[in-house]
Amino acid sequence: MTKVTRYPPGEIIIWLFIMAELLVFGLFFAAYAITRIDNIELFELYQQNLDTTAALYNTIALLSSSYFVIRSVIAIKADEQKNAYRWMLLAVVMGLVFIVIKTDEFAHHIDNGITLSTNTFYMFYLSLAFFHYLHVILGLVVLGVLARNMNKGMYSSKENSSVETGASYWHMVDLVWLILFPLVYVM
Amino acid sequence: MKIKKQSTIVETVVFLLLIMLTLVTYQVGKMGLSGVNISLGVFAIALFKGALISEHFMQLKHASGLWRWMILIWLILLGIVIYLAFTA
Repeated sequence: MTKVTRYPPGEIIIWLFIMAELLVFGLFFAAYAITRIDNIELFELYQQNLDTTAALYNTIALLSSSYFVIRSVIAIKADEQKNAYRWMLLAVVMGLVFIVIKTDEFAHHIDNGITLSTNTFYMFYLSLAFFHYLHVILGLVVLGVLARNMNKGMYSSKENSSVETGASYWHMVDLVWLILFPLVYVM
Repeated sequence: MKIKKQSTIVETVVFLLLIMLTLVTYQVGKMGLSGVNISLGVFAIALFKGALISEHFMQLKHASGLWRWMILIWLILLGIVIYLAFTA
């Protein structure tokens, strides 16, 4: 784990994909911040309607999930297949916690008649949050497949590129949320 | 085994640090603190958390050259854009 390698962990293609994803999210964040310049009062007013506590729970859920994923990667590199499987299952559970909380938040907004066209703030908030939500769902599918394959003993200390590839994608999903949370809910 | 134990300890410390910084951000939001400096401070914490994810959880600290810097550069660029937008 300490040696310097030429390439990042996992397949190179996932890193190109991650950079493309970060570019899109980065443009989204920049557009949010630039639009806010001329709408500061509107953004600050409607920001107060968001559930910061739910966002805190979601941040803890995603951070925990990312931590469990790295523990799974460390375990598989030590040929501890059963431990790797258990850590990955825990990661999936925490990802599902995020989905449950976020779905409830979306349902609450829909019940209050809030849509993309309600105002500029909600247009950005709902678009960003839902775009990220879809990434969490895709990431959960990836983690689920990895967990299933781990249970079948398909990975080892020598054969774990798929695990690192899926893990890298999941950490990217976590990374984006770590920016989204303060930018949209707190600042 | 020693390397695995070291990795486990480091990643656990990083995880606890990430949780602690998240709680700080949440508290700032709950206290209703406002102002450009507060906002930029909160975002600086977010960028630091992102760097921790990149270096440790994504394991880019082991990669060389541009591969190691790709996420960090993204965070720096984002920081510059947010700084300019919030101080405009």
